[in-house]
Amino acid sequence: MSDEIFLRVRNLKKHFPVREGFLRLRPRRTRSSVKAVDDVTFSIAEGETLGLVGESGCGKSTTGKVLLRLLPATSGSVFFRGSELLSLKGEELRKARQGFQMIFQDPYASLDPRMTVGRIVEEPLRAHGVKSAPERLERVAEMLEAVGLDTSYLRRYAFEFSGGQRQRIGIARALILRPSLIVADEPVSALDVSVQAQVINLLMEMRSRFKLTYLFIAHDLSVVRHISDRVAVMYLGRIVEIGKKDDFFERPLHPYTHALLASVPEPDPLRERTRFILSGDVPSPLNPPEGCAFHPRCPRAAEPCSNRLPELRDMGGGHWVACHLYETAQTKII
Amino acid sequence: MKLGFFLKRKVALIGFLFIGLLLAVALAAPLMARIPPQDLNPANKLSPPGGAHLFGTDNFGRDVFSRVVYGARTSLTGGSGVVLFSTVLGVLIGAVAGYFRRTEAWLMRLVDVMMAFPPLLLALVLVSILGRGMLNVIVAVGVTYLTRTVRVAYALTLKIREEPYIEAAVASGVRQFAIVTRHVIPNMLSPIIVQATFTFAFSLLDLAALDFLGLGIPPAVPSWGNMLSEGRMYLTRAPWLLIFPGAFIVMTVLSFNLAGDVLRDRLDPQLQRNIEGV
Amino acid sequence: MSFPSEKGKIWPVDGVNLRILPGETLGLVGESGSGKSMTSLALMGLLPQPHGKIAAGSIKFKGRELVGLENDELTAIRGKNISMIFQDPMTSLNPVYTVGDQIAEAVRAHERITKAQARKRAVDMLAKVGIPSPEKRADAYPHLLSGGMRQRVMIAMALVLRPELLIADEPTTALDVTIQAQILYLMEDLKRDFGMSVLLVTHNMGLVAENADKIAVMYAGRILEEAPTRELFGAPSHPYTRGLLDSIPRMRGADKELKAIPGMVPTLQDLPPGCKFANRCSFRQTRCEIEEPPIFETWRGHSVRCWLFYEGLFYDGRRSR
Repeated sequence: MSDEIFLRVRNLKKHFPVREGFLRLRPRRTRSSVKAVDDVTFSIAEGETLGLVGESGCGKSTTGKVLLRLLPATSGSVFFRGSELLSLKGEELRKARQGFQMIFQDPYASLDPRMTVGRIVEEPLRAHGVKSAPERLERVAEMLEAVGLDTSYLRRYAFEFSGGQRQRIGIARALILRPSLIVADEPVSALDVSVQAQVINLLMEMRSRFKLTYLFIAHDLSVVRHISDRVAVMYLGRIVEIGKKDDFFERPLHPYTHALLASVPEPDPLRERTRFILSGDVPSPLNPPEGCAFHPRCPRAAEPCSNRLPELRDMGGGHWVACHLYETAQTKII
Repeated sequence: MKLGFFLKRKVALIGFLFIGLLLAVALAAPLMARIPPQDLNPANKLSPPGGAHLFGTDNFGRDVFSRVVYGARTSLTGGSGVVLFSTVLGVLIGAVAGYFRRTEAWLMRLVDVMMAFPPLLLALVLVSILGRGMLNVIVAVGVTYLTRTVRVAYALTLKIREEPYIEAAVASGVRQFAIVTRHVIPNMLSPIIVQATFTFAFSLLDLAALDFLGLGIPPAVPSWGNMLSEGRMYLTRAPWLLIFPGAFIVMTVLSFNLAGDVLRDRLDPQLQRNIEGV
Repeated sequence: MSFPSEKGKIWPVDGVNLRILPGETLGLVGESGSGKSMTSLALMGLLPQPHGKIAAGSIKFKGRELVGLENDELTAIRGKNISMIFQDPMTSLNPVYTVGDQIAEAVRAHERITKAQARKRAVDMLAKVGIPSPEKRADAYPHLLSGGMRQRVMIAMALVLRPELLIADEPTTALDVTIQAQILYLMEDLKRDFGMSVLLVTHNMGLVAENADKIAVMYAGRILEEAPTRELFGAPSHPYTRGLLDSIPRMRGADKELKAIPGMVPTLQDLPPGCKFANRCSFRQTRCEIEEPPIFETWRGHSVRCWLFYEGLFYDGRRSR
């Protein structure tokens, strides 16, 4: 790992305007928006894997897509290997994409049904000016082998393959340009249990073989624990806790993290179950609660939680939490 | 596409057979028609079907069978021309309008304006500006079908552009133009082909109508529309002048519609619903 | 209750025997295509029509044979004695009726009571499944409710007639983990209150570990292993079960490398002749590829469909593991 900043995301925001219906009865200024990603800040060191977890609608996928410039950001900064991604335009951006790629959740819909495996994996090379067809073929064959697919599959269509094999095709496509950053958006959640492990192992193998840095987005905490070095939790568009994997799983701070960890059913009938379950639903991002967004469901909510937004604070050792509980604790220490 | 599937649908099979037969007839017209279609024989005018003249002769003594056979050539050429023109241009415009949102507003409003004209009237106006002749007629009729194809292609593009594989292509750094040509257009082809078969069927009727009105192909060229137009004066005296070209128009249009229905069934029903919603 | 052999042209479920005792939860685990959902649909007499049918076998419910019953007899049992909840509550709720009406309708289909009484039952049930202000929510349409709330409504609808058996087919797969936990605890509480049996169909090993008394592992239409929950997790015997457990990343303990099961689930169109798992199995013998193993009982209540256990071959080794 070098001292140079690899990826730094700062105050990233993505607000989706909400359509008011056919007749715009309210004046323009007061139109509401969904704050899908609200003031998200984190960084990833080279070679590191950051797991980004949260429940559906928390903004984790949107964060991944905004930082890869697949969705326009509302504001913020994404600094990647010496350049500001959010200010890149047109051809500049297109060329920069060689450095960062994405692995998609749906192994079915993310591969063009009209294309053969060979063409799918080769396409990024074409787009980035590898003109010689034999060279492209050689690199595609090499990459297919690396992800554990037979080169005889080149001329077959993606729909002929199972979910696990299709995800391997998707991984080959993402890696063929030799990017350094991979955003993997729920890459195994659509797969069967017995195939999931194959793909997780492959992702880890590829990480060491090609020196990759992952932003690993998932809702499955046990998968994230297995693959990540650090973990961040999002709730309603904000990161509420971020820390090293062991700190996060062994010494979680935020009450929401506690609840998440307690909710995961484990294949161990002898484990003592802590019946720490949250009441209520995730609030609508259209109308998030005042103060800490988690306070209506939080078993430890107190007075400041409902009117003041807690800020992320360093609790030592790179373990950050956004919760008023620790705010007071920390001031006491100081 | 599997042959077995078509075999199961006997009615459709008849349609496909007729289309095949028609194609063969049109290609082999000089062999099929022993009497050249332009040969005048005033001595033998308006003779009923039978004998040397299978379908009889017209008011100039021309062989109706030969003219129907050569008319198949004209009709198929005309229909193919209209399909080619409206599909190629329509897919391009629709895909561009659907994918590049900046072009969308004015392209689609232009199409809306064109759709406000009654199609045949629009074709009539265009022909009167461009003049008669095969190419001009194809363009005139093609323009009226262009708008429909544009709308279908546009609707399909709006759907396809949201597919994850398009996002994946963007993420790989594929150029926008390549995304349209390599991903968007290939993925809309099946419904577009269905649309094309219907366009073919309906354009035959329009081409015939233009001919019938005397605004299509020059009267000397044998076409089913021209034959109807000329034969209508002899409706009672020589009904075969109308029956044969008329029957061929009906059979051809019907066959293409049947073929289109089968192709439509082969497609994703959801895509189909989107097209019908246009 | 048992039902062996249900078959169509393809045989999604073959030779399946299950018993559920009163008040018991049986976990039926398997991956996609394992036949677990087909099995549960067959129980309800809800196989996809017109092609799906039970070719052989029997389903006995409280001593009564269900296979071969007329449709209206089955309808009388469905909902009243056996009911089902599905993965996606939206598909089983009618979008044009309020949830209160739908639950009341379910009651009135089986019991002669007035509309007002039915509505009261519906509201009571909504309260029981933990829906806040049930009076108000009863008048809501399904699409206005969150996923977790809809699943609660589904459960209310399934349980309003106090069935003796609830079939829950991936009841929480579409939900987030914190909501999943809520629903599972709710089901557990209701099960205890109502004294009903549950067939919990899922792909999630963790879910059955925490919620089932007994587990059956399905693969390619067969049950490969069945055992009481602690026994199954403490001494998994079938190579497939062991492979599955080794391939799941864990929430605690040392972080071991995941042992993936190579290959993939065979499609129902071309099942191998012998053991269906043979092509992915690391203990494969020649016999496995030719002859399908019968079920061996290795311990009381623990049965395995694997040649390794032929004549108690593995009998002692099993306990030393």
